[in-house]
Amino acid sequence: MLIQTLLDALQQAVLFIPLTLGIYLTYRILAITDLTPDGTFILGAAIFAHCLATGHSQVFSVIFALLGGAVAGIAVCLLQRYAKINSLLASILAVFMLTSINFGVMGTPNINLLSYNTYLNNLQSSNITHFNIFLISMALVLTAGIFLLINSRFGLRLRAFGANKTLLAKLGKYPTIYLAFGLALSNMLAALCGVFTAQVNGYSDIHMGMGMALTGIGAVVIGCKLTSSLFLRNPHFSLISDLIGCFVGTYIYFLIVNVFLLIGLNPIYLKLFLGLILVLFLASASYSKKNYQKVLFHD
Amino acid sequence: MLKKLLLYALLATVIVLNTCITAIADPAKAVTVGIVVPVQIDAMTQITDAFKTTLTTLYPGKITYIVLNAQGDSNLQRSMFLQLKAKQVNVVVPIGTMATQMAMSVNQSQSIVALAAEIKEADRAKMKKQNMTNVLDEVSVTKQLEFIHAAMPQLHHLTLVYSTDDSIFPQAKEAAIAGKKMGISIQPIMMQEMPDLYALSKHIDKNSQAIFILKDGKIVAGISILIQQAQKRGIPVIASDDGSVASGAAFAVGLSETQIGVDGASLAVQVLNGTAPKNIPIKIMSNYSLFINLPAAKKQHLDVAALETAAKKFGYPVVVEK
Repeated sequence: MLIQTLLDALQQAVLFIPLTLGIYLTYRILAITDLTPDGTFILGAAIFAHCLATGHSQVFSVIFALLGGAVAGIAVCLLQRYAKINSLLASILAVFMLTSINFGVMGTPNINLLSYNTYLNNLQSSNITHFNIFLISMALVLTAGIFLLINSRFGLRLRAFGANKTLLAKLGKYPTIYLAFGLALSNMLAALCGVFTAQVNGYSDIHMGMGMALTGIGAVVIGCKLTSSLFLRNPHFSLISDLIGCFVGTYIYFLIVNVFLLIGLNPIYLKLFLGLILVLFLASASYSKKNYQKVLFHD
Repeated sequence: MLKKLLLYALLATVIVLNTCITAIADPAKAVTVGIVVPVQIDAMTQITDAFKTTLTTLYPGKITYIVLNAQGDSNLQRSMFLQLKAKQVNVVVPIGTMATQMAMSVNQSQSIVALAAEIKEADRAKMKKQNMTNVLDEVSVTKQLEFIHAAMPQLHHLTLVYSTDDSIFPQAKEAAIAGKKMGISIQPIMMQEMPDLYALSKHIDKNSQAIFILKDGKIVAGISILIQQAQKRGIPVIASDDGSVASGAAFAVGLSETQIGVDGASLAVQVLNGTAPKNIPIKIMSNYSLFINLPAAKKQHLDVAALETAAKKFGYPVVVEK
């Protein structure tokens, strides 16, 4: 039973990884708080379901969904740069507007995908091992992609945008391009997560993305703090540590949820206990970092 | 040698007899039923309680219930279905369309008895896995409006407040068409997010003669806002379920939440007795009742006698809340 719970949590975590990576890009690399994935997660699912329902192939449906996410990300960038709206506020406004857009795309609040032969749903029902392998492979490929991107010259500029955009501008680079790219990629990943979730759950619904961005931010913060402070003990930026952290954070989140359900905790108090455990993790990570700095100072 | 053979034969007979006696004495095995409630509202509690009470009465064996509340969180809901899968519960009982769709994706090898899901016989036929049956609680808005028209013939302007819930959307469209045929102009007010309800309630037309809400969990959750507006204007709030009437609507023509649970239990017992869910027809509820809240009806200036006369004409039983 415990092994099954560990596997269930792993399956949910890898399904969620695209969204966590997207949030990592904006939150840690671009250093902005973007809640748009709450809306683009649904947008991806909505476009995918609509395209499928109107007779398009699955590949085209996924491509359209990804494009939808990217366009939403660019729109948020325009809100920030040209309408001069603060990043958090711009993303809240974007989620607000996306509620209507998602509804418009689907035409109805819910599209049932159980009667379509979606790839992931088929895999889930025919061979659960292959399904898990596919999800893990997909998560690894995406993580490797992000690793290569951030390690490239372009990725360095993305990091520079987050660290000091004034310097980036002084170096003759146009910061808006990097912001637009980062937001487009982040929301594209959120849309991809929406597509996966719609296929696995068997539906697309305009209410399916509630709280996704906050869960993702929580996973990134916890995971990155844990890996950098507890295990790697490196006070400087470490991409590998951060990417492992994204996975660890996401896994911890789903593991706690599943373990609480397993031990029969009253679900009413589930989020309270989940929050308390996360506070414990963050506090211990923070204390561990302070102790490490003390040791460095004495040395 | 013969003695040994006789001894073995005797031993075998005792074992077979013991098995038979145990089977006769306790034909029904102990079972586990997992219920997933997507969000905690009164209607869900009524459905769950009625389901558990009825199933406990109908099924002779011991039943262990696992009731899980997802609090509107789809990640949490998926974890719950995975847990029910790991625990190999005998019947999975999701409430509502979204929960049922998720259950059908996750719990493909388990029997599913859905309650109040917007899944009809034709929808089930299209699905690859048909391991489910359902209690379809679709209320005919046309029938509701026919009743309202008969009970309140002077009513020509009605405000319909509805949410973007999957089952509600087509009903709102149906209401507009049916209202037109009966000479009732309907002002549609759609709520996308719960905090919008207060502002929207201020935009109810001045000449509106009643506020009508469907079997719509999100609107029902904010019904007190509409009741305040209705009392200010001296018009009634007409609902579609008994829970809303208990919360202060003047009256409702609709299906009882309790009955959804009762009907669901009758499907679940068939599944527990060995019938495959796909061989159990989807139960379409049609037993309408008139629910009246007397104090609320008085405050909202409603003629209760006219309602009772109309109920008699339509053959609906009347349930009065005092």
